[in-house]
Amino acid sequence: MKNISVFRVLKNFFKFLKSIKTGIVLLIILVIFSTIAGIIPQGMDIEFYKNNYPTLIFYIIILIRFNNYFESPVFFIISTLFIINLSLCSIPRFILNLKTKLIKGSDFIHIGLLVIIIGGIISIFTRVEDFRWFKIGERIDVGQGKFLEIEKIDLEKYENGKIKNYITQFYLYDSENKKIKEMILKVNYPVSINGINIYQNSYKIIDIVSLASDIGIKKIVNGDSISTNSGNKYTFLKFTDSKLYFKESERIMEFNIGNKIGEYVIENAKSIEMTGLKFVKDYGNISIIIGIILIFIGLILFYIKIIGVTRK
Amino acid sequence: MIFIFVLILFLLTILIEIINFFIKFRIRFEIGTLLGIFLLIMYEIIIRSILIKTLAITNTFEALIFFSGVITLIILLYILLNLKKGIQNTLVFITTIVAFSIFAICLSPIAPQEIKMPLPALKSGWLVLHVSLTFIGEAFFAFAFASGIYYFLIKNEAQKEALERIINKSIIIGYPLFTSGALLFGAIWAYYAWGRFWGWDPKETFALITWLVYTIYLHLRLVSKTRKEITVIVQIIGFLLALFTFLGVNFLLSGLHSYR
Repeated sequence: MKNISVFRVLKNFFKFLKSIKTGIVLLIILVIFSTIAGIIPQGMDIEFYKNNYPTLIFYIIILIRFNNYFESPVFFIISTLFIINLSLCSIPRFILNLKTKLIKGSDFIHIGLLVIIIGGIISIFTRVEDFRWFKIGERIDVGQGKFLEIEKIDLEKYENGKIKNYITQFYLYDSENKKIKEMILKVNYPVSINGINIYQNSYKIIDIVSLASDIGIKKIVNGDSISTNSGNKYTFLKFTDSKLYFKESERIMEFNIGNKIGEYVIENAKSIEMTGLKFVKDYGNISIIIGIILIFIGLILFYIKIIGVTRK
Repeated sequence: MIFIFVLILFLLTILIEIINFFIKFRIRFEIGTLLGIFLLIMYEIIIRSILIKTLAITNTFEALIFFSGVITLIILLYILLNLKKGIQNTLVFITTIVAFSIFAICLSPIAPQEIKMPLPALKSGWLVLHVSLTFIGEAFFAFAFASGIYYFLIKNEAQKEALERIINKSIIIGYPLFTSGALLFGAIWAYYAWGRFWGWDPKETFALITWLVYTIYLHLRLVSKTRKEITVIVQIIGFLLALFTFLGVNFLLSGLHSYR
């Protein structure tokens, strides 16, 4: 008797989980919570929320973790329930419709969505991302003994001087130091080497100053400071038109190459271009791409059906 | 100068539509004015696109005129497709007001008209598909929204049924376009530009919320017991969210999509 009631409870729970109504309720909860999280700035210090929201709201934000909602247990629970509902609704129907050859656009859309979610989960656990600045001549290890050498850094500009594109040209070398091929990296055009996607992300010019003293040569770049024996602190601002600009207290001071700053002698200064590259390795991407393709197929079938209905 | 003409044509269209409530003409004069609005807006977009060498929907102003132009085209298509069956004048009027309001925002200082060369990340074919399909989808949502407003202004059940069918058709056409544009092509563009498909940027979050609301609408219609009024309200909320995603997020929240 007990077994039957447990079975019934489980059966009803399963029925509840796969119901379209449950799906709708979960979507509504997801919408409400995501809207609140969308309005509240994410990932700020606790102090920010304390200073900008009334006490009660502040406690709600912290309790539900609306300050980092998309990584919170609440979001995880709602999403998990939604994924279970979506799976229970879609997979059996997809298999059945596939067997009876009555497959619809909505079947592909639901399955595509699940495949994307799987890709997202894989991505959470496997994604490796790095950002680094490089100058011409620098080498980047890309695994399997291969490496890249930055050959040229370019900044394309429009006629009005506005930035058009950042371009990095480099050579790929094999483990025996032989050039394999030349590659060009632009914004929106990443390259892939050994499963690592490389993105052109940023560009900057930095000024490097060499300062000689009794201790040796010291190299500084924009924003770096030096302290002299007399106790003064000089912050290097920029190198332009053969002049060097430093800030001391509130004063902006101008120097030439060969001038002295305390015990330091300015030996030389130069401006160099730096390219900002982003490296991404993500095993979830394939799943996400498959999911996107499945949804596209679903949307096309959806339209074919509309056209068919309209013609009838 | 073009915008003065568009403004005059919009005002003329609204005037004709008001007259239509009282006098039944054999000719639908607003077909001419609406066509004029659409062609002038497209002319402006084409000229701008030639100058910046990509489809000119890379800032708020261009997006607004494109959006307004597509809504105008939908009104025009609705009139042309229903000339024999009968046109709901109030629906045409409300939708024209929506298109005009969106156009009017682009004349305000919040949307500078100057032609700007696109930033490196905005020079992408994926972006063209992302933005254009999103706005075409949303233009159908705008038509559904106007139908929803009209739905609550009348009491005649037969007319309400007809409007509910219009809402459903508009969303069924707009939803796949919006899904492809806002979410799928948007994700592909983000992958090529920033190395990730999704980043929970405020614009992405609100685009997803908008999509979820229209998803709720489509699923509510599958549940036989759902009252029609509820589905109409849901899609009205959906369009308001779409507007917030476009304008509210641009001006109130910061993120990667703050291209003004």
